Amino acid sequence: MTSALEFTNIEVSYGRSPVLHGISVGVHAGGWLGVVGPNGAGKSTLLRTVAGAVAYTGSVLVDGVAIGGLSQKERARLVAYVPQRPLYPEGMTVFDYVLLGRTPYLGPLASESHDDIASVWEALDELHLVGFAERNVATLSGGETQRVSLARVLAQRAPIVVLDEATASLDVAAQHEVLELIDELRRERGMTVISAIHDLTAAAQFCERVALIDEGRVVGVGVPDTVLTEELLGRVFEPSIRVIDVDGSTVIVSLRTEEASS
Amino acid sequence: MNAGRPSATRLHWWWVGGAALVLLLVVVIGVMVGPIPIAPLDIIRSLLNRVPFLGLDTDMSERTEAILWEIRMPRVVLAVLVGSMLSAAGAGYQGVFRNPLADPYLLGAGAGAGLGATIAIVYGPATSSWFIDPLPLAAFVGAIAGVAIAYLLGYSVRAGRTAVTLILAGVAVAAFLTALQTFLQQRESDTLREVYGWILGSLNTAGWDEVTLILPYVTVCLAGIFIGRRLLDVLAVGDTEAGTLGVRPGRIRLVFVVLATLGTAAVVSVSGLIGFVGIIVPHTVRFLTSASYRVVVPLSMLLGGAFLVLADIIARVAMTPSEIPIGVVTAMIGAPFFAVVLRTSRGVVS
Repeated sequence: MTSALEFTNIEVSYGRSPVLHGISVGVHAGGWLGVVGPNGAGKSTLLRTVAGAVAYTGSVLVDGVAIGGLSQKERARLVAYVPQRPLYPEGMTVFDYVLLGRTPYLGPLASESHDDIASVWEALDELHLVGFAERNVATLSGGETQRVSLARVLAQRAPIVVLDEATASLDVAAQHEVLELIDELRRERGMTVISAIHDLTAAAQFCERVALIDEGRVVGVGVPDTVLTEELLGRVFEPSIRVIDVDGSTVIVSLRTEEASS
Repeated sequence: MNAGRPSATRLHWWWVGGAALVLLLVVVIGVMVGPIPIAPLDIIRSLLNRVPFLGLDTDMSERTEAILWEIRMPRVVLAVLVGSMLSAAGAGYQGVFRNPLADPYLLGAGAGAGLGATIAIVYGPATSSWFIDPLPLAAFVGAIAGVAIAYLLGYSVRAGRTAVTLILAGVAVAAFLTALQTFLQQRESDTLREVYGWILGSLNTAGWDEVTLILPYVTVCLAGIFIGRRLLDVLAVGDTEAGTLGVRPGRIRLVFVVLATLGTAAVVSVSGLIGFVGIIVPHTVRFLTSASYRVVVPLSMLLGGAFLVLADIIARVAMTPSEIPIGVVTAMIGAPFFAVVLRTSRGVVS
């Protein structure tokens, strides 16, 4: 179950102010595309076009099929979406929350079948959440809720997974764990992942391809080594960014300038 | 591998059984209590007697039989229908608006019905000269008109047709209609008592006619809310996410508003504006069982009926021979009861 994703000439405006200016970028089936760039660059907006949460012109193709022409339900079977700050309803159990992932497979009047229930348990199993099934989803820690969101994504069985800053609010260890988990699921299940990501080091280490966006335009796209360079990042973010090699892994940091630290 | 693992969203049979038992018990008590007490066994015997081909003899006098079937039974049945409908409508509104304070009157159904009833009382002809009583009709039309105006106003907001714009439109419409109603009522102050009597709610004119009048609406609306209850859980994650899960939040909201409004308009037309039921019952169920609407909706229907029968018993007997308006009872008994539930609950909504 793998699908390629292709954006062509995507334009989005909020009211009269344009946010995305003709973005074209793609990712192969089973790949991981990281979308990086400064705050307000349009990363979230680009992701929302795939999820059908924003109006756009241009085309978003999944395996060559324009998802703009699909029904809401058909698209939900192809694309699973985790927003930047998901709403975890007070009092809802983890099980019920993951069960929501089965919504695209149910008619408006239907209730879940044994298969639906089974796929929820399977997803909980996979993310080591079985013991959490009866817990109130609103009282979990940041790392736990991210795992719950991923469990819902698994239950949704969509080949394309859209993650908007999935790890933004996590500590270093929890962030690493969640990113490893996403990578593992991607490899095992062949899911295609597209994620907005603030942490440039994480983008360099986990994403197969990176799209650097600034002010609604693609500044660079390709494998991390060619895009996450001091020259490009310095232009988009600030000149003091350094790309360092630590035991074969890329680490990207921003240095404090001399006049600021003196 | 998954065998033996129950679905976590279960509507436990003992919850449903317990709620149904409470309802049955309260209904029997409701029929028993009154100036002429009727023994529970007699009630059951008389009930069985009405089952075709069973032909059980009762030693009940004709007069008691008439009191049971023509006065008490319709009143208790009406209380069950009104309580179930208001509770289910409240739960539905809380779901589609993601707002714990939502009640069936949120979008102007209450204010519209109040204005309609006031117009009927102030300007209506002597009711006896009409083929149908204009008051329930005016309240029914007023309730639906109120919500329709609020919905159209909320929907016309360009910035976004969200739950919040709808609620704000409802607040504006309700304030306007209430102002009109108060104005009329002040101008015709001799009708004040009658208007207030209606607004505070009462079931004392209940007969089988009222029951058959609202039964079709209540049946359809309860069935609709019951069948769609799963979708209320989907809306709980917010409109955007619900949309990415393949549903249309705006459309779901419209369907629930139509169902809740139709049902609420029907019941207030015969009972007046009984407050508090639509908030207190769903929340109590939530505290005691689960936050999932798969559980909250059906249990609210059963316990909402029971709660209103109980409130009506108190309204009838607390100050005999006169009656207290049932809306006063629901608030006076309901508020302290709810406070206790709030305090003692370690429940799911912490």
